[in-house]
Amino acid sequence: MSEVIAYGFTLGGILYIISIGFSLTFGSMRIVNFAHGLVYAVGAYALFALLPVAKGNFVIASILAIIASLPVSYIIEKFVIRRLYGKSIDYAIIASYAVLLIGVDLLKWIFGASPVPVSDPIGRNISFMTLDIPLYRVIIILLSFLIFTGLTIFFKKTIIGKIVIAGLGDREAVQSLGIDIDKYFAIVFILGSALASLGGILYGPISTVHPYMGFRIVTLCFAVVIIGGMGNLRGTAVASYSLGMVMAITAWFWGAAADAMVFVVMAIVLIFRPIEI
Amino acid sequence: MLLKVESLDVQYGSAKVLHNVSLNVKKGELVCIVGRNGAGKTTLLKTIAGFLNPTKGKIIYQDALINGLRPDKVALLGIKYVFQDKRVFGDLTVRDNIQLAAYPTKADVEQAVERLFKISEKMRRLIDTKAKGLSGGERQILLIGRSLVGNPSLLLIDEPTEGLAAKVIDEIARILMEMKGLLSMIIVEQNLAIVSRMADRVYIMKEGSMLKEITDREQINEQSYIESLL
Amino acid sequence: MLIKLRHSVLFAISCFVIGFIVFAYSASINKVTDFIIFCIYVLGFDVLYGHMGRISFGHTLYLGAGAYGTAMFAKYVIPDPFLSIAIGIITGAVVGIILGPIVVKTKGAAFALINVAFNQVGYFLVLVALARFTGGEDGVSLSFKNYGFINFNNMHFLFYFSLVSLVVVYYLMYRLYLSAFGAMLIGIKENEIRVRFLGYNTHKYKWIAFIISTSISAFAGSLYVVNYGFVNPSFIDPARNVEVIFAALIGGPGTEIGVVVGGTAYMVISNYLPKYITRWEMFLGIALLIIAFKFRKGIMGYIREFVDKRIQALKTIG
Repeated sequence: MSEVIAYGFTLGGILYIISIGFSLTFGSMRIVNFAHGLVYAVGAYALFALLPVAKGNFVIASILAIIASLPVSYIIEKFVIRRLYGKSIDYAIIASYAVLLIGVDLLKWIFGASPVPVSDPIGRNISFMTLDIPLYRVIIILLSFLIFTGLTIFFKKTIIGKIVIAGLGDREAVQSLGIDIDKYFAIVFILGSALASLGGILYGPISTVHPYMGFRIVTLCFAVVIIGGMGNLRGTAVASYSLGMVMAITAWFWGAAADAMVFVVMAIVLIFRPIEI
Repeated sequence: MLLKVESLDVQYGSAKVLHNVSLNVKKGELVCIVGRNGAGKTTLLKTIAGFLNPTKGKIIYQDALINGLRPDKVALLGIKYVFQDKRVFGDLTVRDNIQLAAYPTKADVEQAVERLFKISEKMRRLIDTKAKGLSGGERQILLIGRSLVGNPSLLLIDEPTEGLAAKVIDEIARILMEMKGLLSMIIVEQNLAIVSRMADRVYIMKEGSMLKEITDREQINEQSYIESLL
Repeated sequence: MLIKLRHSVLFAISCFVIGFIVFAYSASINKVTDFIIFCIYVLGFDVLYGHMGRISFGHTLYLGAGAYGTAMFAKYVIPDPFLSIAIGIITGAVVGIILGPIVVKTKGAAFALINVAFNQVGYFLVLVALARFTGGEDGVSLSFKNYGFINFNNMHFLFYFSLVSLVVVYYLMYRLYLSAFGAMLIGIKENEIRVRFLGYNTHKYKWIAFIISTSISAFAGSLYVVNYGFVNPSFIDPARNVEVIFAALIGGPGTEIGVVVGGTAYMVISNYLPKYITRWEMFLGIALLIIAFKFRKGIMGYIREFVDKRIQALKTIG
């Protein structure tokens, strides 16, 4: 049972890393950025493609993969998101969905429709009290806590972080101070995208890397954001770990139901706390 | 002439909300705009500040045309807009609010904070409180203090005394009077007593148009006269 | 005369009825029946998109609800086609009634994805949870009873039945949008707060519109089942939502004829294009992008603009 809980934290950690960018874009620009799922998938595939280049060194390959995914997110932000979000949110959503479609098909074209194998880079387990779990998963959990702490400091202490927090609450007031808030939202977007690709890299070895993984993760992110609140850092963290736990426990009883259970939970939350956007 | 607005037309979707509106402000002047709800006062301020684009007309500031500039660019030119509804950055502290205001103008944060205290001593004990915990009057003071950072030439203030108690209104009025002459201000106000006290000139707006400009001191002091025109 | 035609629903209906008949007999009756049913589906989707301004990225849930409702009734109760279709529509309506209160309170981004999430749950139920009944991945095949010439196994009958259904739904939607209810929906789309201030309970109207949308989509699902004689999870697959969104966009959202044009256009593209372009899904994505940036009024939107300009020109001359 304690393995299941540990797995829940692992999943929750990954969900958090991926969802935070999605939540911030949602909160700052009011767009569902479907293309977020594409950057996530690109991260995973880039890892797969670059591992041989890095001579099997996982850390180097990961760093290269994140760097490789940055141009993708930059292009998406500059040519799609920025052009549409001020004027037409509906079309921005459709456009981001179109980008995901195109990207997924490109991945299918380059890498094929079947899953590609990415294995656990450590391969060893660690024994800790009653637990015996892969060391890799422990590292993921630690990494997610690190990122959470880092982001909290970033948003509370740095000027850019404070501008973003202010902008999430009142965009016009920030502009009236003479600050080009769109520039800062763009920075946040790229940061969130980099985290998404990191999430793809981390999740790759413990799940399947296939072209449609982006679609799946976007809907999970959405559940996290619905439950945790748009642009709400702490809420996203709480929701991510909770849903990670839900998935792990459900998977233990009935593997195929793990994803769906997340949506059932989301539906229940919505019944008792209907959101108005 | 610091600011000249000539024959402004503004549309919201398909509805025309401002029609042929003109006004001007000299250096050091405090001009008030009065009018019923929906007369277009906020729309006018927002257009000057760059949040809305006019479909016709000109906005000339310090002899340069500023139509269609982005709001942050307008702010950097020295025009600061103080929003209605006392909107502060609630999740940030008072100090943070000032810090954000100082950032784009590269002003010194400590100096800006000291100036806030000079405006109102009570802000000293609130300096590290989250802004959402402030009362209405305290928020308005913070907003005014925030807008002064970077030494703007023109302030656009939207209904500063709305929803405040009489004593607090007095305090805000005192603060605004102390600022008179040091910079120019366009203030939208519904409280005619305050208008009579502060204004060098009064503009009356009605249903999206500029109805009348009152320059005569006696007429400005005559609240009932202004009221009758609304 | 041109003005009268442009606004005449009879003209529009006659046009597409004749168009479909010609198309069916020159190409393939089965295929065109498919196209027609798809148009009904898009009409259901457009209630929410074109007329209430909400995009749903999970509408196959309702198509699937109708399809599975029909199939399950036919398999486990009676394979009577009319009853089964009726049950399918009712299933769609029930889903709309239950999910409505949760869904209609949202808009924009949230609305889009709440539908996706429920779609995923539905897909899971059909594929895994209730696989015992639904046949899981393989689905179930059915054959329906027939009554003399009312023979759902006859492709000519199916074609005309579907065509008549389309005309009925089309005309109902036309009347709906012209009615006070339709005006209410437009009001909600443009400025919901104002409508609320006028004293109307907008949630109730949105809920009703939602139920109408899900019921029509479910009807399309039922027709598919009757048409094919089987059902499988592809009817409720969330990945297929892009089809209906594309169709609504390309034709011109908010107009019934636009929906029919768009639905047909999409069906034609997806049926004939893969023969020439292997990566046609990428083509779809690129086309969607172009539409989102430049081509928002859709085909009918531009045709209407063109016709209106003609009318203006004629007016100034006359």
